[in-house]
Amino acid sequence: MVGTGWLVKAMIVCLFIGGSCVGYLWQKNQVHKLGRRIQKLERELDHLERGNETLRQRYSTLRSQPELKRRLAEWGADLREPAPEQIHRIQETNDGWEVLFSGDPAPSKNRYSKRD
Amino acid sequence: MVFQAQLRRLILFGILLLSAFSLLLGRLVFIQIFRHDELQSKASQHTQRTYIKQTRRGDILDRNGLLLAGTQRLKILCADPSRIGKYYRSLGALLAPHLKVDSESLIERLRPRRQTNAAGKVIIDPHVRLRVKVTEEEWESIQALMAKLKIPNEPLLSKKERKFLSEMRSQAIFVEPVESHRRRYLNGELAAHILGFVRTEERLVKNQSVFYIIGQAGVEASFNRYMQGALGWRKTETDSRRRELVAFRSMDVKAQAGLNVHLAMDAGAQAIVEEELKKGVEKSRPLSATVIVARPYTGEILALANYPTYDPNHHGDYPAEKRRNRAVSDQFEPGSTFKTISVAAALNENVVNLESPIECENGLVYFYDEPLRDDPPHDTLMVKEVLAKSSNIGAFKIAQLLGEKRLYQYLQKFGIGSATGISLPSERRGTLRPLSQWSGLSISRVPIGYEVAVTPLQITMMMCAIANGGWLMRPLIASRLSDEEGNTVIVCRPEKVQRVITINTARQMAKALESVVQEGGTAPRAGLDHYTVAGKTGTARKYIPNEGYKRDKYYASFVGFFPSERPEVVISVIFNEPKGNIYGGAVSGPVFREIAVKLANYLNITPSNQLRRQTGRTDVSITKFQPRNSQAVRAAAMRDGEKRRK
Repeated sequence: MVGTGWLVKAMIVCLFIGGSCVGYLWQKNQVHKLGRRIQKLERELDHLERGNETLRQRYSTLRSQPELKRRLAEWGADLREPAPEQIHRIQETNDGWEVLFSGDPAPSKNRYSKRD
Repeated sequence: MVFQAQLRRLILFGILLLSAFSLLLGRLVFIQIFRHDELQSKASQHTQRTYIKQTRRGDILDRNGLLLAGTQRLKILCADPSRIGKYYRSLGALLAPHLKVDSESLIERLRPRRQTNAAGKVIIDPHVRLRVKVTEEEWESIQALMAKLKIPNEPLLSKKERKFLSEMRSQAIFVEPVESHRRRYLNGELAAHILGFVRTEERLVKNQSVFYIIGQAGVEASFNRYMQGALGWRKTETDSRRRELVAFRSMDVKAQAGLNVHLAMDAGAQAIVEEELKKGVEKSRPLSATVIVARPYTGEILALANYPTYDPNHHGDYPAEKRRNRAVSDQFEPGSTFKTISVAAALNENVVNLESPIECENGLVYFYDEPLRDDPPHDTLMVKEVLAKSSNIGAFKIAQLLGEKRLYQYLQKFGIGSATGISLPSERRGTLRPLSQWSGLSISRVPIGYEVAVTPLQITMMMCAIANGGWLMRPLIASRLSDEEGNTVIVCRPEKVQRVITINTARQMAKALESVVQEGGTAPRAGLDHYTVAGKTGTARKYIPNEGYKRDKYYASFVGFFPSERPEVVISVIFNEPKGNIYGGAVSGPVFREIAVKLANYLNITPSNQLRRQTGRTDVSITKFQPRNSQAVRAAAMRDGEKRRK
């Protein structure tokens, strides 16, 4: 009478080998898929970096003096720099604030000169 | 019997099988051992790839972080004529308007050409460059165009032909893995002579094209090695369709971006200077002109402008004449601005004081039988009046009291005849002949700014030394260098070259130079309403080689600083051959004034009357003043250092 033990053992060995093969293939497939994903993300990153650089340069161009001047001229707002006598400088003193006028030789205090 | 026959057959079969296996084994040994290296290199050639990663050149920013020069990443557009075949005409006509090239020349380049490869096989050239600089947007539009490409009667074509067309749409036009870069100067002509320009050079690195951007002029050239960065590379394997197998990447080294250069220059101040220079040039129509604005305590160059100028984005369209940075490369006889040195030296040596009387001989004196004139003539002037009225005879007599040797020593101390050491290429040293080569006449000519030649930058730094209390500073073009993340890597600190005169002498000189812009001085039109200005005019005849000094060609200059009690900026304005009025006070003085008024607002410089009120003194000590900008630079550097340590 031949026992069924060897058959079970053979099946287990076969299943193990088969399972290992399938597992190996699955893992290889996953590695491949991840590789593709990495490549895709790298491309996206590159694209974003390019976009970032373009935006940074555009931002700097918009902030630049020639561009600001061009836009001011386009708006026709007739904006100009203040004359020195139009500039009021506020100076902190021991007993409050003092507004100094560029064109005025005498220091003048305004209503905010006393601090609580 | 039967059994024996079967056994014989079995043995025979076994022997045959063994022989076959032995043959296979032998072949395997031959391939794997004897031809191992050769075959492995062949296999590697097909699968292994090394990609060079292009580095990004560092940016140039102004002192407030405004981007002045940046790099745009571009693609290299190529075609594979072997995948285009007979459709090259229709494809060329389709792509030409998008690539902005002539369609006939494009068709010619797309036409398949036979050539022999390294193995002696005749193939169709699979790689033709169509354009080196293609933006991301252009490449996307070309891809979309190729995807929508229509061929007449396509459904009626054979299956093979349709497959060819499908491959042509996806693979015939492609970009190289290596990128090309383009340098962009975002403000066009602004600060062109500070920034400089670059050229692009294609080099082969591991059999791959790499585009190097090399600085040719200005900061681009002087900081080239810092801004270039280092190439990166990736070693990897590809499949039969040349797609990368990420799992087989054996090496992946990121390209190191170049360092960003933060200039000491202020783009706002630069724009003001350029605008006013342009107005001045329109009025005086000189051959050339230069304006330099510097911080006297640190030597920082806030602005530097030349006329004529150029656009560094299209530098090839301009002659070398316009690209030359005249502020450091051109030298001229400074004329009366040089009297500042003669008087400062005499004051420093206690040979005279500001009130000492100088006999000016009614406007004419003969020295070695050569006349020296004053126009208008003066009788006796005090030393400070010699400066205010710019008396040639007065300056000569002061220099005589000082003596040749001491005058020469002070000229050297003020940096005349030696390079300032600014980080800009092509700087000239100026001309100061050794004392042994001075003629008897030299002592009458050198103190009034003849027989010597200086660059506009040298004369600016000379005035900085007077403004800051007697220190000759090294001109500072860049304040710091930072990496890609903005961390400060190198700090360029203000550098004192040497003490030239004492604080007291500097203060006396500032007082004396104030009278130049007052009524009775040579440059009343350079004065400001709310700031005290100290400065010196210069009107020098131009020397033309082989022709001598010309009566109708002059250099007109004004070099000054304000507020004179606590100088914030030194401005020098130099015009070469102005038309009409030729005097420094009339030509350069008003330009100085216009620049100063606008800079005072822009830099928020406290007016002189307020300075006096704040300190309660009429004469503010200039030694106690700490320059704001160098403090800011140090503070920024310390913050960055702390951040990095954390």
